[in-house]
Amino acid sequence: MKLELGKVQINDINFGDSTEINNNVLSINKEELFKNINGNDEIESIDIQLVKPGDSVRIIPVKDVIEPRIKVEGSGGVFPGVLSSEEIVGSGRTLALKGCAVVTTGNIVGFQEGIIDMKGPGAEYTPFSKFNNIVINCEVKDDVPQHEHEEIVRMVGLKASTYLAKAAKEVEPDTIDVYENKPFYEAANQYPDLPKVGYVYMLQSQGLLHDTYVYGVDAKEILPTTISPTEIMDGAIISGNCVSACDKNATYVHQNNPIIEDLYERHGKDFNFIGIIITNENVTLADKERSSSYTAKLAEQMGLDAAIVSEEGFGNPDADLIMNCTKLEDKGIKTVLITDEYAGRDGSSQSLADADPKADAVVTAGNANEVITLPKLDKVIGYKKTANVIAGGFDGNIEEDGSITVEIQAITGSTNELGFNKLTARGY
Amino acid sequence: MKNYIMITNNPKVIQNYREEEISVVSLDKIEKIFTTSRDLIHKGYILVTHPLAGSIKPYQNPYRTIILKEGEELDYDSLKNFENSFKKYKQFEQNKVKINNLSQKILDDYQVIDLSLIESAIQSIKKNT
Repeated sequence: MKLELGKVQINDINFGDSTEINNNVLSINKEELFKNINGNDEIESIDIQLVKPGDSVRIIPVKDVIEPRIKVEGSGGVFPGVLSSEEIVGSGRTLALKGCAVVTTGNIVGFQEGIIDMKGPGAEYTPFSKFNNIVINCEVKDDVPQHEHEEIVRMVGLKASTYLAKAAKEVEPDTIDVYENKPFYEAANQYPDLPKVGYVYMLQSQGLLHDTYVYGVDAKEILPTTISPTEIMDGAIISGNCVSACDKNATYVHQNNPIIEDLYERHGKDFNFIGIIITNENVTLADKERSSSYTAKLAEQMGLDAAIVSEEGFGNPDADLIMNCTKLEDKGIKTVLITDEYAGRDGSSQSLADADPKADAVVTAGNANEVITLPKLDKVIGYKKTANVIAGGFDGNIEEDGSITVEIQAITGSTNELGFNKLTARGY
Repeated sequence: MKNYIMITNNPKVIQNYREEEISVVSLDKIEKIFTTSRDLIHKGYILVTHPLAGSIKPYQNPYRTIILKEGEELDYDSLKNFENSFKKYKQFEQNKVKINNLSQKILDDYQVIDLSLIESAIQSIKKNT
């Protein structure tokens, strides 16, 4: 499977008469975009605003962030099984609009999480403050249940992204990267002297507001399986997740998984990147046992010497993380885990809800309990009151001067466990 | 599901599941749900759902449901998972600043989330029993 990923740089966005890209500027026909996403009778209102890096704007609560992409050659289409057919994707050519994103917001549950500040100290904690964002606030009728509401907003975001990406169809990309995923046997023989490394990609799948979809299938219903990195780049994995803002994987992060990019970067140099196993994070311990055993079995069948394991979310997925780790290690497959920490505000408490001596190589994406004060910004898109009840927010945290004090877990993507975040640790 | 027991403080869970389907123990405080579960594990019950279900942070959702299953002897994996979770819960409890006056809408949303996690667990149990 070989995918050419063409990158069309978007340096600015504006509303115009037609949706098109000229000289790296994306113009959007607002009315046409509205028509393309407003297809559900349960929708009460849709508001579309453009927000740019440095704007004095706070977006809250963020539901999803999506990068507009379009498939111009090869089978299937972006977001297979959801907005395109069930055909297998990951081959041919796909174009991505870099530097811009669709951000959806909507008050699905009263305590919903997720802040993107486009300016100030908060902007430094979220990777999404650096993009030209098309922000869509979608409201539904009062009697729409939460799960339907989530689905409506999820689809609005995906449709908006698909509509905008069409503008790139005839545009020559600024750069083209080629990603190839060979059959396992060929891949293993390509660099026989290098260690065979795989990636275990954990997907949140516990229930309402905690879901991820693979080719349109709810990930809680899957057995762990293999997937080509290029399928993921074509939108085979999408987020249906409204909780754990700091460490959920927005659809944008799946599309641009930095672990996959780094594995490709060092493939053939330091190791032989063989492939990816996706697995879930379910509610019952029996499901966790089954999925982790199956993951370890697949890794063994792939002949892996080592695996990187990334977690999504926090709490009970810590049990999945440790089960994946110990079962891989028991088969002689070395592991490196990527997680984040809930180590208390002073960082002195135990970081995870599970641990094992075999988990001796762990990368942290940061301590989600750290506290930050975000100053007042001129404009809020969404619901300012939400800040009082989101994770990490606490009663009375909106000060008279309009500033809010929250744990950084309230900020979208602040401790992303794929490393798609801004935090790092340095020794001095 | 006669040999399963569900311990909860979520009115929506209590409303949704009848005694003939699964035994339901209704308690008022999360702390009590944890300690009751711990007692049952020491009596040989097996932990079926992870006590930190969901990624709504452990100290945030005021509703909690834990499912256990009758067993023969002390199950050390259940005990390990339980004790790790309880420790994490207590850590957050200490740091917690109470969120007062949550509106009925928000309480309702929390109940729906907890119920959905448990529905997902019940479906999985039914498939495998």
